[in-house]
Amino acid sequence: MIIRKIEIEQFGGLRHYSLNLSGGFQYLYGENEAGKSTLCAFLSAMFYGLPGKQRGGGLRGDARNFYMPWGETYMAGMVQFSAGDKEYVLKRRFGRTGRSDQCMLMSADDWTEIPIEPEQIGPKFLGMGPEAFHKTICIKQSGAAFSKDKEDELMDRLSNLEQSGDEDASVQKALAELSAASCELISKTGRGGAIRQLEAEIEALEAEAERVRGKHLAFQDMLEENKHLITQNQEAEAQLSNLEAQYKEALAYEQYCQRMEQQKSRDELIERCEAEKSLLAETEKEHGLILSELEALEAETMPAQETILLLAEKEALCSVLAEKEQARQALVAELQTLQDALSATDTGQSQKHSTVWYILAGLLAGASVLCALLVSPAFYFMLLPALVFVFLPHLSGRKKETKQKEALHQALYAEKKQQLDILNEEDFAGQMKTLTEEIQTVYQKAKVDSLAALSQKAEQVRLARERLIVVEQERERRKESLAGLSAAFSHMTVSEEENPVTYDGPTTRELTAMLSLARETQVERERKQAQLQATLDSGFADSRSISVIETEIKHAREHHAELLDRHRAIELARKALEDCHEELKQVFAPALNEKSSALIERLTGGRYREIKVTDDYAMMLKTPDGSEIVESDYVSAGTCDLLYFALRIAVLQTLYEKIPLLILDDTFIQMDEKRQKEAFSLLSEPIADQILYFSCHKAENMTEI
Amino acid sequence: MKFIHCGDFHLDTAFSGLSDAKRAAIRQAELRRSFLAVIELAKDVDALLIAGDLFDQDCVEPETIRLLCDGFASLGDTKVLIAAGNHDPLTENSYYNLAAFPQQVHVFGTTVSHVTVADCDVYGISFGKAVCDEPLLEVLPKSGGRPSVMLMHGDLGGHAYNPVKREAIMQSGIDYLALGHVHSFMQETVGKTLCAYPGCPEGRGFDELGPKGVICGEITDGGVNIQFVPICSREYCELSVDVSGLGTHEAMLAAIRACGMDEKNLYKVILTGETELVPDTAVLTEGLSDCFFAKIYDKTVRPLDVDAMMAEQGIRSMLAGKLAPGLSGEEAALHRKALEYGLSALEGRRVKAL
Repeated sequence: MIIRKIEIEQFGGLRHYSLNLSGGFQYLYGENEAGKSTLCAFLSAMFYGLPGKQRGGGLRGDARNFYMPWGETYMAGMVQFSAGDKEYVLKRRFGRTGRSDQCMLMSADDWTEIPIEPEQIGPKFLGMGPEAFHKTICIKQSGAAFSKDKEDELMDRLSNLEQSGDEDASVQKALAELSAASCELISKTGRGGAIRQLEAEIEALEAEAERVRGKHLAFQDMLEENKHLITQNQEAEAQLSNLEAQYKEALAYEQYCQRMEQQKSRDELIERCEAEKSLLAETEKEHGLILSELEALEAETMPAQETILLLAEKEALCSVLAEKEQARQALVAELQTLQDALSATDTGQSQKHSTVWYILAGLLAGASVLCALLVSPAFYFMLLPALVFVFLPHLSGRKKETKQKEALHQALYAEKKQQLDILNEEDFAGQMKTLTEEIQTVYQKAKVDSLAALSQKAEQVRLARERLIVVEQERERRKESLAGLSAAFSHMTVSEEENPVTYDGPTTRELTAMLSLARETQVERERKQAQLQATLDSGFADSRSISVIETEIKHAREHHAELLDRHRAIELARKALEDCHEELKQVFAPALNEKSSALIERLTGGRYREIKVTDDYAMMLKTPDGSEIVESDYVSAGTCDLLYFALRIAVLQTLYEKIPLLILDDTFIQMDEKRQKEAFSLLSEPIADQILYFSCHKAENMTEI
Repeated sequence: MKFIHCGDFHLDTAFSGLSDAKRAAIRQAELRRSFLAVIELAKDVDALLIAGDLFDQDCVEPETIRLLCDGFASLGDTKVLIAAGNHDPLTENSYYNLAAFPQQVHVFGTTVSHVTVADCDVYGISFGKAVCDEPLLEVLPKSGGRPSVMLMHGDLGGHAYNPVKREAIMQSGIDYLALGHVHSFMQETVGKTLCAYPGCPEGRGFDELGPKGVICGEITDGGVNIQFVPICSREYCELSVDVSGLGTHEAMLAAIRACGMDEKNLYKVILTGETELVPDTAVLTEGLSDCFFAKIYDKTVRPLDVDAMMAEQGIRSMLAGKLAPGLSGEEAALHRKALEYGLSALEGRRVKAL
């Protein structure tokens, strides 16, 4: 391949830059910061695109941002090149991110676009991927050692080339694919992967099966308990039935006894009714008698009690009047006596006079007392004269006594006459007569002859009435009682004749208690059963069926066995392929060593003749005296650069019949003049279609940038 | 005596191969419906004979117990006679002892006994443990003149799980030997005894192919008449499809469908032959999603001319040379598979580990 022209619109520090190139060796001189490295990066970007930011690379690790011109949002350019016998124009534009990148490949012959994926451009025209490109074709400044990476394209190609140019078969990729497949099954640590995961799943399933089995064992216990409860229930139901039957029997007996009691009560009631009836009859009879008596009494026109009281007053008045009349009569008699006394005057009269005075005194005293009692207590005053009369005959002489007696008799007579007048004012006899007539009328009507009898009779009536009331009350009470008894009696059913019932067992009360207890126990048992059932139902709510789990275990084990077989096959393939790879390396490594050794010997002027390249591109050198083998790390930087330059050329010469392109960015800067000369000498040979050597040192045949 | 002879329900078993829990649940429900279908058939007969393995194992769901109790209770006068099998032996903790089955259910004990049903003697014996390599009965009960049936779980002419010897059958003179254990219907006359397996009423895996059901029969003084009655909801079917030379999944699907598939049944499709295209079983399964269940087994192999490969140059040749010696040994399949993996990897194809 030959790059004919480079046109950069803007890339890094280069803007509107154009460079024409030709085939063969090109020495491109540019001062520092002229853009040499930028040109190398541009060529790399055109053929292989711009990668994403590398971790830890900083700005230099982010080529896109590193080369993005300040203040710009894109980079763009064009490369015109020839490959084979065709001419191509490659245009690319890079944005801030890969999404905005654009790429167009055209045929320079007919300006038709050639459809190609951007990432295929480098491999197509340069025959290798980006990593291999940077390891071989594009050689930068010092520190140009390189190492093996994961999918080492170089090693693959070296391996395959050694056999038959079978460039499509990538051993490294195949090994990586087999490793990846193997790790999918068992990870490198041995702890991860599908097989381990499956083993963990099997373990978990077995644990779950154990748990569910345990639940089933508990379920069996519960079933056992449930069955026991069912048996108990059945026994309890039988017992309940017995109790209920017994209860019926007891109830029947108690009802029988009750009926007997009722019958007895009924009989007693009948007796009481009869008794009550006879008592009522007696009461009625008594009532009749009292009524008759009362009627009889009332038929005698009994006066009212007030009248009787009036009669009593009247009788009392009559007595008073009679006494007054007697008093009046007494007074009359006294007056007569006094008059007689006044008529009497001798000694004999004096004895008679004393006697008369004594008699007068006595009469006066008696009348006084009587009047005082019957009329007015004022009459007690009359006792004084009576006293005077007693002492009078002793106090005065005969004459004097006689005059005194006479005066006394006159005074007394006047007083008595006055009293008599008073008494005569009332017609005691008439009043008495009227009263007596009234009284007698009442008595006649009442057919009594005295107030006492009348009172007695009235008392009889009153008593009869009271008795009547009592009897009537008694009668009513008895009627009510009888009515009550009759009502009670009427509610009593007449028991039919029945056979006697016998029973010898607990009472209904006791049986009710027993039934209640039995039912409570049954309810409790049913509750327990329901609880058991709920536990059974819910106990497995979050559990899967044991057979499901065991089948899953079975399937998992089958799958596990299958995966293990696959893993074995993959590992067998990987091991076989690794063995093949080792064999290949055994074959190509000497050739590479030989090529590398020849170049090293040439470039070092024979100082180092033999090198061995390991599969990770480390180099072992024999010291000049041949006594030791040292690693390339122990030689100088310049020698190391030289060694890797030689290795690169050796690899490229191994991979290609003619190297398509070599881009060197002041690669020999650390070499001495002699080695540089030898290196340039090598590059001047037609080892590649085009060699572009960028340097900041002037040299002959240079093209100034 | 009219009877239904069934067995090997294996209730509460998972459905082997149905990785889809939804489909497994459907099949479990269908197994329950099969039981109820048997109950319906049994309502018109004198006896329901269950020849063991009613349960799949010693763990039974409470719902299953309730299903059985309710089902048996609905039978009325029909007697239910059960002989326990090796999956549900009559142990102390057996559900036959623990569950409160209705009164018409009789489970035969571990020693032979008999019950009389409609003028017929029905003998029976149960497994007492899961393994029984010796015959449960060396001598079968002799016929007593009346029609007689022997109900038990066993292996006719076999060597394990109560091996039943034909000589013993011939000497017994039993009219009908109602067996369980074999999951396919079969019958055989030994002497004057008709021996029969009803099979299981519902297939549970691809080792139980074809229609499944129960036996309806009648035993009279004149003899025994039986008839197999299929009752299963679906059948398990196995198809072997040669996809040699077919390079697309569509072509493979067409070849599979050409073997005759319907939406109802369950299919195990085994792909055979040589094909460059490694069949993607997930793609093919998706293409058969209208079926209730289809599982694809890839038994195809890549066409490999190992000799020609070894004659070439290159890494492939080297790999073939490395693995060729193993292709004819004990682990030929392993080496062939390794070679396929290696070649696929070298060709830049993804090696499907899972």
